[in-house]
Amino acid sequence: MACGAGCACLPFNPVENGLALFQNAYALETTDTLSHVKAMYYKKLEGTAIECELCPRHCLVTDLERGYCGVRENQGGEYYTLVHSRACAMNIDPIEKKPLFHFHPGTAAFSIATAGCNVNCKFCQNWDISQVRPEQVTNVELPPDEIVRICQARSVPTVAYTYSEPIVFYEYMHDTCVEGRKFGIKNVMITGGYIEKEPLKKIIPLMDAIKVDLKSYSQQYYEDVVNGELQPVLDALKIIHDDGMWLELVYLVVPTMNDSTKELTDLCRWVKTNLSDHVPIHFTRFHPTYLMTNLPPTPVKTLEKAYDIARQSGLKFPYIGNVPGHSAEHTYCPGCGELLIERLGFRINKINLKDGMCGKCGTHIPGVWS
Amino acid sequence: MLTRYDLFILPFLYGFVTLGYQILYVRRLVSIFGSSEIGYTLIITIWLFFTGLGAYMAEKTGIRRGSRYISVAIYGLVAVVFYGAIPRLYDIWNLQPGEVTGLLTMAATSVLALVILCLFSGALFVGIVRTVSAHSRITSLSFVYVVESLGSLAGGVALTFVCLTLIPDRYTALVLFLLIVAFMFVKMDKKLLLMPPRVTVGVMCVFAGVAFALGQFGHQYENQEVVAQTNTAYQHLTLTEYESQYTLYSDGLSFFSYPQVQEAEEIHLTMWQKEEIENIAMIGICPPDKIAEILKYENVRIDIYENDRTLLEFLVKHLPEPAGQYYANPQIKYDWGDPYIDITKNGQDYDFVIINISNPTDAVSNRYFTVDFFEHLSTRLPEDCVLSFSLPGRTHLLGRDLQEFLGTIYNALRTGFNNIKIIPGDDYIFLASNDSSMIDLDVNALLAAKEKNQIQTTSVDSVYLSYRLNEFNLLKAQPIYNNELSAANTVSRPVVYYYNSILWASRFSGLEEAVLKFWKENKYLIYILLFLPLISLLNLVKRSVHRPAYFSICFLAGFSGITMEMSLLILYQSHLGNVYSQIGLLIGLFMVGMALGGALPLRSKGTTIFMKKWFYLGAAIGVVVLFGLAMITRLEGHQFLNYLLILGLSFLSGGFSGYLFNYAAVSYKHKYGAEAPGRFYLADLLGASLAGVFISVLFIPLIGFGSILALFFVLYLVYVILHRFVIIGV
Ligand code: SF4
Repeated sequence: MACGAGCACLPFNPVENGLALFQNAYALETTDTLSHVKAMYYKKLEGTAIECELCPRHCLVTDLERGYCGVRENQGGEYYTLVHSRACAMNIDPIEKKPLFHFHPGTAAFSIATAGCNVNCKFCQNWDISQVRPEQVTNVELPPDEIVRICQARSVPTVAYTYSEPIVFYEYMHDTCVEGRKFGIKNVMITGGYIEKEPLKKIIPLMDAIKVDLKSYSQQYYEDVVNGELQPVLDALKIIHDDGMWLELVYLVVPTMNDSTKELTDLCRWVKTNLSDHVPIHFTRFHPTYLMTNLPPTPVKTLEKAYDIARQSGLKFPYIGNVPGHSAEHTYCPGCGELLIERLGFRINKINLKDGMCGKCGTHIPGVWS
Repeated sequence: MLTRYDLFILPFLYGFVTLGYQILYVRRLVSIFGSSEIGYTLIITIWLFFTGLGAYMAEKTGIRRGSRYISVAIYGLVAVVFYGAIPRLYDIWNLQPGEVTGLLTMAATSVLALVILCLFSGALFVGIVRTVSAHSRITSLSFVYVVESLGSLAGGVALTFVCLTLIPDRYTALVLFLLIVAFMFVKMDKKLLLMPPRVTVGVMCVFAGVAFALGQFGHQYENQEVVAQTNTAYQHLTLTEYESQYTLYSDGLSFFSYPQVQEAEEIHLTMWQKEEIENIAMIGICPPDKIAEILKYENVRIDIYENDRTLLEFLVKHLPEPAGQYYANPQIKYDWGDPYIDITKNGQDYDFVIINISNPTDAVSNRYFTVDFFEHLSTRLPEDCVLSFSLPGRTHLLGRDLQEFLGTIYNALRTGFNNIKIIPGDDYIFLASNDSSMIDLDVNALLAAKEKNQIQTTSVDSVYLSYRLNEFNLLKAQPIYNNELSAANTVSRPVVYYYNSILWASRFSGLEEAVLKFWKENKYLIYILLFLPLISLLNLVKRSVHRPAYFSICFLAGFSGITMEMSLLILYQSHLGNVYSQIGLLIGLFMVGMALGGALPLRSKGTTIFMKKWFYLGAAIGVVVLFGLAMITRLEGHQFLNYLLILGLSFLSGGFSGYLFNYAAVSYKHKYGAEAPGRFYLADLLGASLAGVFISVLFIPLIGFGSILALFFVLYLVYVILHRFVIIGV
């Protein structure tokens, strides 16, 4: 779900593919057992019931039951995450696939995911891992120190928590961030942003960048298509931005559903007013999948409309995603209009930045460049 | 007093209108659910079951003679209103435009749409039997059954060949509604109407008008502009446009969208396998962008094998340029015959054969992914020819189900080709050849081929290829190569259906998936099901219970009828291609057979001698059907013989069902001096509905057509034993 960019993010799935290779190289093991690590955010209720305080769902969970996301379980009045160190998908992706365009362009990210998600988007590109319980996928025992070891062995500078929804494997992500930091490894979270304020504030300092999928600017859409809420996501965006964390937004444009001129205009205005005109916003092309296979893919015209609206609203860094070869894949200087980063799909053809500034006019280009 | 003519008209119109509505409802619901074997089966099953139940309830509650007219009135009213309101039923589930539906939603929607109509329809059947019974001395149930079959035949032919091809469905619904109104006035007893006739008709017309208006809105294309719609001999096509993006829907499911932004990578990955490219064969018409990609190669000749000429005309007429120019390129030659047969008979040598059929979801598309086809191709094509196709994968996880789905096709492919490579991804690309030096997935070699052919692409470049063809990604296919457990997909055992159903179900609630998986994991239960009729029969015989024996024969009639009808339709598609244009003929022959078979026992006087005579006749028909069915699978390649055999069997199996039903009805009346239309009809339709589910979802995909033969043999045995030892008596 978090990969709402709709890109063809292909993680390495440990179940049946390169497992042998990974096993040989890194001595990883598949495991049938689930983890038994105390959850970080919950409160005990009467008897053995608990209330999860990680995301705005606030699931009330009785003994031996699980929350909505299916990866947290009440065992005798204590709440546990079942997916700590249980990765079900991993791959080494270009950072442009996340997509993070203003964050170390041209570098790679070791991307991991566990099963589970706290919403149910009908267009989810990753539904085969996000909409299942951990028992339904094969997991690799991949503790944080192992992730760090793989990154070092393959000279990958960043770990990306992605594909499904990293909020539901919060403790795993948290511990990996802490471990990675010790060795200078960066962390990026690719999330739907449906998280409570306290856990969010705690994880932000451990991150180097966050990409949030804003599914729509309509509560109705969140109810009907996402099974979530808009306001907590908007609140999370403000917190991330106000904390000075590098933030990029993805808006998956689903034709006929969240692409009206009014909605796009309201969205862009909100971003400009409440965040900043410097926050990159990626309007990505929807590809029919999961439950929405009978919709057309997003017309390029619609994406261009969204791009134009963003520009007219004063946003400095709008992009069009999943349309390889489109001129709106590139980064342009908001000062002089110079082409600064030329992209083709995930490929960087040219970078014309000097110390984070336009190579021509010297305008500061916000981002994490070095 | 009703005349003999009226007595004929009543059941004839009933059959005509009932089948008409059935066709309309199936089309309507399928256009919303999207066509799938499960979808069709589900709707028909619900239809049959509730109609049977309606008949039973009417018999149990003792329908008054005159209330048949009220039934008629309500039937017409309900039918047309619910027909019009089907798209609105979707609102109940809060489904979004373009959203696909799961089994539970489909079932619930179908039940909501059909239940009242079908209950009334069943009750009406009993009412008509009673009416005939009150005015004549013949076995009215049998008579109504025969005449209704003829009415159904007429309804099927009229709707398939006249109404639905010439006028939109909703007008057809109105025509049927008016027929119902006319029916009411044929000989109605006006005192028995709920309201004065004029008021009744007025109210019905208002309802019909509301339904007619409601019926125009379908959720599935909401906010898109419907550019054109048409029925071809093979499918229902809809073309929509949304901000210059055109999407083609075939039978309610998205087929392709134009323009495509990404280039068709499998085209280039295939084309870069050979230095010199001259001739390409493409099975099935493809989106214009794909053709544009092939036309980037100089001087290639493309033979497109496609049987639906109207589809091309439709695309050329309604898609914006340059789509039409691509299709009309002089380098393309079209073959409008059956691709399966024509490509194996055509003597042309090809460098590449591209199967452009996305997913084997039905018997017609399944043919191109079978051992049978791959073996044909392999012997017919040059050794260094490369075959390619792509199948839907999943972005991340090669789960067990997907692995088995792709494994069945890989296992079929390797019976014809010894060099196969699979490229995992959103779509799994299969490349196969018999030349071991072909199919190189080395990125540099591919880029060199790209360079040599001077192909310009934006997405299929070095970064993309390195990403797609890296060792991690390619290793994902390993379990498919190693998959020894999946049976190879064949024409006579299309196991791919089953995996397709599982993959489809996995998107919805766990229940649907669990139900399907249960049967695979407990396959022995299917064999028990096969022999269940025998077990229950033994119980009947042992306890010398006679009355249920008659209903059991009726159950057999329904079960064997639908089993045969479905098997023949699937066999036809598997061996002879798309059945769309012949479906009327097949069902028509079945109905004629049913009417004639049903008419035979009407002459019976109920004496033991007559009984024995009919017993031998029934036994003979059964043997012929059994033998004929066995022959079809043996006659691979003898198209005409198979064609005749399937048509003949359709007639005979209809005859067998009709005969069984009426034999039971006539002998029951002779023995007990009364009729039980509700119970007979329920038994018949219960058998039919059960057959619908089990045959198409479990028996054929999981244990193949052999199981149908075995099942038929068991049913036949049951018939013989019931007949000989229970009804005639020892
Ligand atoms: S994280 Fe999971 S268990 Fe906790 S509130 Fe959210 S959905 Fe419920």
